[in-house]
Amino acid sequence: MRWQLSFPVLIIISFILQTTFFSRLPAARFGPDLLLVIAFSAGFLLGRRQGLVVGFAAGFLQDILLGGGLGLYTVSRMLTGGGSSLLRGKIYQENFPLVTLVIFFFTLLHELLIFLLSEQVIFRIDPLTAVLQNFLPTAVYTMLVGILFYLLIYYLIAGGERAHGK
Amino acid sequence: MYKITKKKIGISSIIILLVLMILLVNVFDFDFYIFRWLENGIYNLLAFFISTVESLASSVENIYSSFFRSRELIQENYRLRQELSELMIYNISLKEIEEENQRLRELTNLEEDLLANPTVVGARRVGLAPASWEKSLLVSAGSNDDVSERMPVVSYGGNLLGVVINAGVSSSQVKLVTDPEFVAGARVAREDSRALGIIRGQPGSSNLLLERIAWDADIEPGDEIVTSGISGDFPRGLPIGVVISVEPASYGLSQTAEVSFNLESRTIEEVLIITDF
Repeated sequence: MRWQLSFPVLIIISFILQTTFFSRLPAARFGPDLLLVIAFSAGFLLGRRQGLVVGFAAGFLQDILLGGGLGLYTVSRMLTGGGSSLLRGKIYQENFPLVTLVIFFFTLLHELLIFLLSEQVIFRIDPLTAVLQNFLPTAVYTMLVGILFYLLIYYLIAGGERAHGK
Repeated sequence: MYKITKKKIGISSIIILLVLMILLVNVFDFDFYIFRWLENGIYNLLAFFISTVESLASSVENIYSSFFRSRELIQENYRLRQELSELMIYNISLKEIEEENQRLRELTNLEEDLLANPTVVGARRVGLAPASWEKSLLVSAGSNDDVSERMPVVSYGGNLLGVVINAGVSSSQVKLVTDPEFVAGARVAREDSRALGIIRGQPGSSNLLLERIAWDADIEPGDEIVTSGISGDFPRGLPIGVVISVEPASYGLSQTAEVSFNLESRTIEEVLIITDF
């Protein structure tokens, strides 16, 4: 399936899952951040252009859903998509344990970026508390659920092992 | 060597323009009509998908429940919960009237602005918007149901839940009281204390903060906090929460109270949007 078709479908499905299913679970305030995983996967598996476009689309939709439109998440998702493309060729795409760890660090960086750019948050919460009570649980949760999404994208959209000559 | 091609210049220009637009929209509050139109269109489309899935999930859940309890019972339960919430609001207003009457014995020329006959629209929770710090709920009533921006939203027991920040065609976004950007006038609901303050959401916490309370105001743990209605954005007397602790703030020039929020946003199923008060 072409990425121009498959990623919009995946973004919509992730949105629905995040707003309905995951928001009812006890750990709802920690995500998981599926849109970040999608933007990350697009950049890491397909390239910089795809990462930027998918990141923009996912972030823009999220900003719209938060009542804004063209806001913080549009920028942060684009950076995630673009940033993950820099790892192409440096990390094996099929090295899933390492990719899981990379998702963890990308989530941490993303949370840090959102924290630094949220004026109503940054001056009202102790950074250490934010790290311990928000960043880390979100990163762990996103890492655990996110790797499943990464595998889905890796095998169904990016072509999996066939694409890498195995 | 790094080559600058026309394509790279084009992509860079688009990214720079995009960042500039985001800055203009967010920092300087520029309102582009085309963006607003585009956003509303996309939002309505997205909300339609989410509402459809949520409706389907609710239907499946109801069918499953009907094996144990009749479907009519579930619908009746839903209707009764809505009625109960409405009656709670009336009850609050009556309580307020009673207290006001007492004060009127001592005072004169007091303007009446109580929640006497509110017009409400019932809606179901559709979902919780995904975000790191922001807390907003999607509900199944929109401009088709006369819902518009800045309308107060209450839930079980008439407790204040939030405010409508964007009304789509058939669904709306509600900024929750626990959102760090939420601000509303509030006061202590005690006969011998009418201490005023500003209630705000706290990042990373389900508790709220009542700030800017006068340094000598009479407020203590256990006090019930309700909306003050001073700004006119919210009706007077909607319950918000209960004071947990009180601390001096601004070098003793004011006080700040931590308030436990009466509602748990994750478990809310139905809400009432106050369209007129």
